[in-house]
Amino acid sequence: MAKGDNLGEFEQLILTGLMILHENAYGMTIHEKVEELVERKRTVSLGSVYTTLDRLEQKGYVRSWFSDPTPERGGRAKRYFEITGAGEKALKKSLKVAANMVAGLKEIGGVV
Amino acid sequence: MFPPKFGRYIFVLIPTQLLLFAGVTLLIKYFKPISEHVTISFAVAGGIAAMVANHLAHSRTAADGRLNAEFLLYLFLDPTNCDAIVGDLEERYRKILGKFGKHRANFWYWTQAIRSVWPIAWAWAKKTTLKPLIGVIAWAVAKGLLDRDSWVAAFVELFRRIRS
Repeated sequence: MAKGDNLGEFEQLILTGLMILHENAYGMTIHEKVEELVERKRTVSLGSVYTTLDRLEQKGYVRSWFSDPTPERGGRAKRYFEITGAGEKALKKSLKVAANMVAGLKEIGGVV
Repeated sequence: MFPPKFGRYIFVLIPTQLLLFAGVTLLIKYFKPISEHVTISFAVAGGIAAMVANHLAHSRTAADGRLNAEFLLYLFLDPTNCDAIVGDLEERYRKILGKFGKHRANFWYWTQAIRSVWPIAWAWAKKTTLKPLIGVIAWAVAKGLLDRDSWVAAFVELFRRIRS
């Protein structure tokens, strides 16, 4: 696996949010979901969500499209996002590593 | 003294545009021998003009206090992406406005807009300046400019050659 295929923590959060939200994943809902996942223990800006989504799209882990403009958004379109097969695979790989870490710490009666 | 909109355009929009155009003019003047940079400068000027036009077009629908935040985002994003982000901000703003009132909603909107500008600006800077910077360094290496006692001397020599 090349170095660029590894996911950062924030990328994992975003991809998890996309999987949970499924069809209703656009900027605002993803932002809300990520804030929920980090239990508001760290600040998350909408700009960082979008830049991460753009990066994930470049890597081929996410695809996006624009909806029609809606009046509750001041006549602006929504940008919807969807996780791709490669994205799901990369997320599962990352979560497996995290699960191994948790298991390893449990074995020694560690911090978890 | 001035109506709010007039003041905003006089004190924010026009000085910003003047500064940007002065920057572009200087860029064209000093990087004239490099045709690629001139093209980039014109592209940047065109992009800025488009963003300002888009900003003005939307200014009729958005609330007054939030216009400058939108303008900050329009500086670094293409209009379609910016519309999506501003739309998200607007949608959540209305949610908070309904639940907690105008002051809290305005505070949330501004803190989000300001905190969002940094990662977007950084991504934009990486995308737009990294390649030309690598190009200039590669060109300097090819010209043997980096084979000097210090990087300052190399930089001064590079600047001198660009100007001559």
